[in-house]
Amino acid sequence: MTGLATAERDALARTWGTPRGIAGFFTTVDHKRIGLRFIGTALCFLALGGALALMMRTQLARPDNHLLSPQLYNQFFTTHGTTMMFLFAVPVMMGLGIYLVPLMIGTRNVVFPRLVAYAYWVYLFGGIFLYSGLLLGNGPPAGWFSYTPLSETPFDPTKGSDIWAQMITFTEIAMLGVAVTLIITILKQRAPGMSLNRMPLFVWSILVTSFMVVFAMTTIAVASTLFLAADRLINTRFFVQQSGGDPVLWQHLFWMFGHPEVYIIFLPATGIISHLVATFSRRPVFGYTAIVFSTIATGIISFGVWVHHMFAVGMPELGLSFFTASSLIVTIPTAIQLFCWIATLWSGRPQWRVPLLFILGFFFILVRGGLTGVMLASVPVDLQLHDTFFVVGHLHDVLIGGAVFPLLGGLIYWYPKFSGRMASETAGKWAFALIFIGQNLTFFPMHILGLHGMPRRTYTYLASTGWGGLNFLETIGAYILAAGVLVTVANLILSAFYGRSAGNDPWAADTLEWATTSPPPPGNFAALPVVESRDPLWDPGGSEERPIVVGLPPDRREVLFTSALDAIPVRRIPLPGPTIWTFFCAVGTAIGLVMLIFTPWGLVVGTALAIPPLIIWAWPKAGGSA
Amino acid sequence: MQSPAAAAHSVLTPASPHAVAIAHLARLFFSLGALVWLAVLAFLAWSLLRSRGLNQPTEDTHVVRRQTGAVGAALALTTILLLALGFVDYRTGRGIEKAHARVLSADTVRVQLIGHQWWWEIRYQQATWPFQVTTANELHIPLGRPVVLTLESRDVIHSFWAPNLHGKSDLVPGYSSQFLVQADTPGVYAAPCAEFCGTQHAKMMLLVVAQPPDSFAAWYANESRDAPAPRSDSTDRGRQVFLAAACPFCHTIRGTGSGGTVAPDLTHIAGRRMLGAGAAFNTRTELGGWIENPQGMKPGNRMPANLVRGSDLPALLAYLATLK
Repeated sequence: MTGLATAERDALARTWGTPRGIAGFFTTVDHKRIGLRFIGTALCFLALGGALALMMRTQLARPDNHLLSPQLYNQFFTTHGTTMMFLFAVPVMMGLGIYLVPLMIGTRNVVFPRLVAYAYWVYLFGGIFLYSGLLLGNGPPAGWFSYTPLSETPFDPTKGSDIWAQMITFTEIAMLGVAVTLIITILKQRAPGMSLNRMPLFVWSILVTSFMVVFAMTTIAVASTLFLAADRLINTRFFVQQSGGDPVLWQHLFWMFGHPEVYIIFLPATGIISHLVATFSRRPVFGYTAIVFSTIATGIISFGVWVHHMFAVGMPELGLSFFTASSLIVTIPTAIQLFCWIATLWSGRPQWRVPLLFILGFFFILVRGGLTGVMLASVPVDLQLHDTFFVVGHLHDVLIGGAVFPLLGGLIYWYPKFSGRMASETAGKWAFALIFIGQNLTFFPMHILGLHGMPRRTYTYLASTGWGGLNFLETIGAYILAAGVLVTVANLILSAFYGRSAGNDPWAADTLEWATTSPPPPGNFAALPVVESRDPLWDPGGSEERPIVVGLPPDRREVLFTSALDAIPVRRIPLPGPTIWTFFCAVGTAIGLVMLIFTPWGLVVGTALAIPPLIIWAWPKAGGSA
Repeated sequence: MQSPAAAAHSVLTPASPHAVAIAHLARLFFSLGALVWLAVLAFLAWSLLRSRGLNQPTEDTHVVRRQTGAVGAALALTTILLLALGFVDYRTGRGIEKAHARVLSADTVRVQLIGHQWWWEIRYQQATWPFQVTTANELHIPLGRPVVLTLESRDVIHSFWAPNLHGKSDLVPGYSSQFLVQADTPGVYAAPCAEFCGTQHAKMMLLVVAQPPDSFAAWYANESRDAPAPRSDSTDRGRQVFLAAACPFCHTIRGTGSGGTVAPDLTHIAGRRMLGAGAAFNTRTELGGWIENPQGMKPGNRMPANLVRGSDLPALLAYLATLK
């Protein structure tokens, strides 16, 4: 690195940089800025969804409460679930992927940076659209699962379910754009020498997740964007029994998307954990190959378990047994990963830093959630527990314990890379304590309530049920949990100003993102690295001796394409630079999609507004491309 | 009248052979799950806290061999446990299924249970006279006898679930499914709707009253009779109020000529424990409040504001109180 002239570094910064000020804000194609935007926006939606949850918990704190009307409560829980799944969990994980993947695989940008920039705007507009509906008193009232016929026009003549279905369209477009970009980036842009079996585990998890997004999002696209929206807008009859449709078809399509969705959220979290476990036990993760195959197996099996959401619909015994078996089997790859992480911690020397605490919280809660999940795989037991508070407890165990804990640990861990400064350890410990206590206090009693017969999605209950005490406890827990999230957010904001300066590699970690400065320069690396092992930064010899790629001109946006399996250099390819047209295309898309819930002409208008900017943005230029 | 507060609603106090089998299975899953959870956490704690001299991130073949052995053993144990659980689960499921097939006979009580937003219509179907008896929101069943419910819905998806008696079964519009329940312990069991069905999903409760055969027979005989004729001027005036207001468009009181079927049958309303499908207990005050302001205690329900004058209300309530 010292051998490189300062002039060359300046040239790189000019080439890969983003225009300053407001122009840069709308035109940037830097994966780091876009990735952080996804993460920041997703955290805002987490706060919004959390605020809705707090209001619901306050309503349920005592029996016969009148804080929220049933209509409002139903809109709140629908919006809460929709927000957490579509606007928080998936985008935050994919955003982390957009930020970290190019750094981890040693390249300068993602392969379709403009598509990712477009995806961000579409995602943002979709989220704003959903909340505009709610603020105008027309939130979706039919649940985040939007079962037909309850979500069909006769039972929801408002625009609520239209907004819901169309918000799904927004996130589908955004997430599909991000997923294909990440797949191709990972397969074609890895540093020379980073064969598939040397790829960091987080990158593996993002690769598998992106493939899952491609398949799962197309399923929900068919169900929601095509069938449900068409039923509501142009009176098709896909889900209407009397006209030859079938309301149960919706459930199949929805859960064929819905269960993989859970793993789309969980798998990136497992990727995060592998890195944190390695760094904080000072060991390479034990069982790399086993973890990779477990990740792939989880991705595949998760597409075969969806009927366990539908046991109560009524199906032949043999069919049910198949889905019990698949639901039990899907726990095995997760178990393998858990055992490998414990084995790694066993062999290493744990560093008691904040990210490790979140990993321990993950073990405590996720294992519990996994085991209650095994209970729900049993048909007879599920028929008792399905749609009760037991399931609410279970799903928040696996999603908060399984995904949010690792995510928060990961955000603290990569914070120095994002900002150049360390997040506060003290605030991190406080946040962990509050979130851990709050989570357990809120969601463990729900299992008991479910066993005592409390159905979910109920806005109130009679005092004579005796459910008041535990519900009150849960409400207290929810406020403690929210306080913990607030401390985390404050920590992330304030540490950017007051945090200790971090340096390149504050945790002495093993992967390539720590080989560059914090925060990284616009082109990520002064010189593109070459990789010779799974843990390049733990190789003997210092940064001076790391091999690098030479021969890429610093004054052009060019990266190296390598072969998909062995990462052998194949050719240089040009990447596109900043443009405003992705933003205009997203605006056109949004106008069309919003209009479409009022009139089929939205399709025409949307096409007319979105296609010209798309053509301009993708027009091939001399020395550059789309 | 038995206090409605006594309506039981727990998976853990089963009152039927099916629910007992499921509760056993749930306890087994729960106990094994708790053991596994504690074991994983114990291993984790031990791994973190054990003292060790190792420091550098180097691969040691001895360490790797021990790790491989431990992970392999844990994986084998997990697989065996899952296979065992799967087997026990399958046997329980088959047992319940076979029990269903065995018990069906002429003795079986057959009931059509129809879900509406947000109440339950109940139609007893008998081979002998009275062939059909209609009531709402309170299902009486004789102890120890299998009851076959035919589940249907007139609007959206609902779900029947009496936790003390059995698991859930959905009521899907356009489908008709059969579900068998049986109670071996007398009592009042709550069956709240268990599939989100719209605004008042929270207040859509069916009560299942399990009673000895003779008292069930007495209840059934009474239920099959028309409403008693008014015996006083006041109750007679109450009946006139009922018939003159909008009530008969939606409600039926058999024997009065009113024949609405979109809302609960009121022929024996005074004999029921609760109002508005579990919204409130059936007292004179609550019923008066319900009629005066139908949207008060169950906002969003389908009963519109009506034109019953305040001065007519006492007579109407007096009449409704005779509909035992």
